Amino acid sequence: MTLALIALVVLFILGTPIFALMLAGGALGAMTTTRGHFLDDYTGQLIDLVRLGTGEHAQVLSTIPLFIFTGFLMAESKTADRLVRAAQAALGWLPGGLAVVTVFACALFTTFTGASGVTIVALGGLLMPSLLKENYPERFSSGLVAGTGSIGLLFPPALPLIIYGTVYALAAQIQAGAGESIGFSSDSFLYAGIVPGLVLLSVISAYSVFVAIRNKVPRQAFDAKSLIHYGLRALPEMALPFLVILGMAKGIAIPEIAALATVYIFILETVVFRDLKLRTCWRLIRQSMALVGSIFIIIFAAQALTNFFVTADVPKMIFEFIRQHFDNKWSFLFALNIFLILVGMMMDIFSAIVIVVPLITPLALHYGIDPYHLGVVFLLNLELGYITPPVGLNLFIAAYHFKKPVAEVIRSTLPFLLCIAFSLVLVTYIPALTVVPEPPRRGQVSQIAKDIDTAYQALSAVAEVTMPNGNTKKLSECAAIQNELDKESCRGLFVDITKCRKLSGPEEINQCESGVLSEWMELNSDDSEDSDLGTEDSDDDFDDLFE
Amino acid sequence: MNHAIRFIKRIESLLGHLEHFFLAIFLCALIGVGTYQSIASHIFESNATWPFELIRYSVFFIAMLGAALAAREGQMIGMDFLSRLIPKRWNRVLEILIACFVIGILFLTIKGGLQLRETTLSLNESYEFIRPDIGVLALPVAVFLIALHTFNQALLSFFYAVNPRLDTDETQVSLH
Repeated sequence: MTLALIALVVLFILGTPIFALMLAGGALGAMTTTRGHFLDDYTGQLIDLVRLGTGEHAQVLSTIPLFIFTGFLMAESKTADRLVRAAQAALGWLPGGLAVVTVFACALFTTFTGASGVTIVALGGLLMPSLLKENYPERFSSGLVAGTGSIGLLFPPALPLIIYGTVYALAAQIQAGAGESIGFSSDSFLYAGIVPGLVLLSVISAYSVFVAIRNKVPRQAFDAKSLIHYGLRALPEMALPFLVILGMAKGIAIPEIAALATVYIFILETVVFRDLKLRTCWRLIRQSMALVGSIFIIIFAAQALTNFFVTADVPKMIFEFIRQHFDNKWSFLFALNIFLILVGMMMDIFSAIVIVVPLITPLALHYGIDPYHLGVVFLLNLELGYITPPVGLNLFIAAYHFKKPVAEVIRSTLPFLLCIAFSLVLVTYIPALTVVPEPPRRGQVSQIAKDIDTAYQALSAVAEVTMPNGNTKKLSECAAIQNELDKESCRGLFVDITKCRKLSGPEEINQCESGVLSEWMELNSDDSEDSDLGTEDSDDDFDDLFE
Repeated sequence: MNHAIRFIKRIESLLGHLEHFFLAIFLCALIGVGTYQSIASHIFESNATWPFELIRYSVFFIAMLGAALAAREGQMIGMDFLSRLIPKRWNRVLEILIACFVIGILFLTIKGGLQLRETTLSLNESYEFIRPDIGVLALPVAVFLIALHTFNQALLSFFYAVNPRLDTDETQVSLH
């Protein structure tokens, strides 16, 4: 097993696609199970994969292709140009106005494109010449564009928020057990990053203003006319994030919002602004769906890897190790920060989420860390990893795009690295910054259970039955049974007896009742003594059945 | 060798076009059904369940076909740190070795996927539009396509490693 693990790590470093390594991890897990049917066990892991792709979670996952396609449409059209002009007209009169514009434009753009490399390429070419023209230092300008290329990932509907929400919910549900409340809603999580995201933007903006004042960058005169002109042109696209948040607040499901957003942007770019031709959209489908596929295959294959982790007791081992070395949640969060920055440097954000989240979820639950807070800290760390030397992805993309040596880009992004790190410290150690609204009430499990109870009470007027052995059985006893199947069977008996008593003659009633009772006794003969209390034995029987 | 390279590239191009075409159909279905669902449920207060089924399977089909297309375009996510450092020819050799490993795993997944399809077929689950076993079939089909693309690219890498002068493919920095 150790050798196989080392081989997987070597293959990872050599550049093997991550999905193949995850499937290989799943195969290793199947190999090490004691049942002996390798292909059956491996197929069992594929069931989880297909279930994730076609089950309830696919509803939330449907937002991924839609938002990615929307992001591609916006990146290809002149959205960036309109956003920058409008933002400059609004904020250009401030000290460091254009730099602040860059920060906000990059954040807004990354929110939709998700992949920060796209932001650097789409906005870098537009903003770099303007920044240089306004006498911002060259190193600051390239650092600003490269450093802010990932800062929009905390605002809804950024894809990492959606993926984190889904993966965490799955991991926490496994941890808590099916049907148990996990105290986390992936819809509510979309709001969790707003305040921390604004903190991040404020810190970077403050630094940019400081640089502008120190370098005596000239300020623009405020021009209301150009603000109205450019503001109106950019308004339909600038309004999109707010429309998304409004839709969520109104209770519209996020997949529906995603579909409407795609239609809205498509009509805007092809009909209203006429930036895109249908032929271009055809090409964009190909490019965006290839990206969608590369993300999805990792998310799906991660199911197999998670199975392997469970088989190999990896979460348990990590759990024991961490519990021995970190005695409180703050020291754990500090260690987590270091670990996640390293992860962010080595892995892209999507792989990092699907691999690391299931591992840290039990730990976070153990230390009592709020799941929303954990998610924000997690994503902010990965944002930092994007520009952390020596292997942060954005460093390479910026170096490639601006045709500068990587070492120079690293030097230029250092102040922004520190700004993001400072924001990370604030967000990590002030959990109150992570603000989440109450999850929408869509019928909680406990409420549904109560409703079912009430319905049964109404259906079964009979509250007490005398069994053939003389014992009395009460309807209220059924509610105490833990095993759902036993509970159903118990309640069914009372419903059937109630139906019997609605028959016309006493003979018919007696005949019906005795039939029902004897049938019920027969069915429950093996465990009639203890099944009504939902003992562990009966639970084990059912577990065996599912095995 | 030139003919072989051209032939492989033609097959890859044809497969790419097919995948692109079906992806466009599924994406349009996803957008269309999602929009219909939002209008039907919020304006006409319809409680139909078929849009959910269509959305779920569209996502799965897009994911699977998209993965095949990503394999064709060389966009599968992986660590490219080492490949950036080593010479191009050695990079090609590395690609062949990795492809062998990937194809092995994919072969296993195809077998598992087909077995899963048979199991699903025997369960005879209820459905509205798409038979569950057909939905499951997307897995082995897409994995087969990924394996085929990987195999073709390994073949190309082999030809390029043998004759580096033919190697005109430019390596680009991934944006994602």
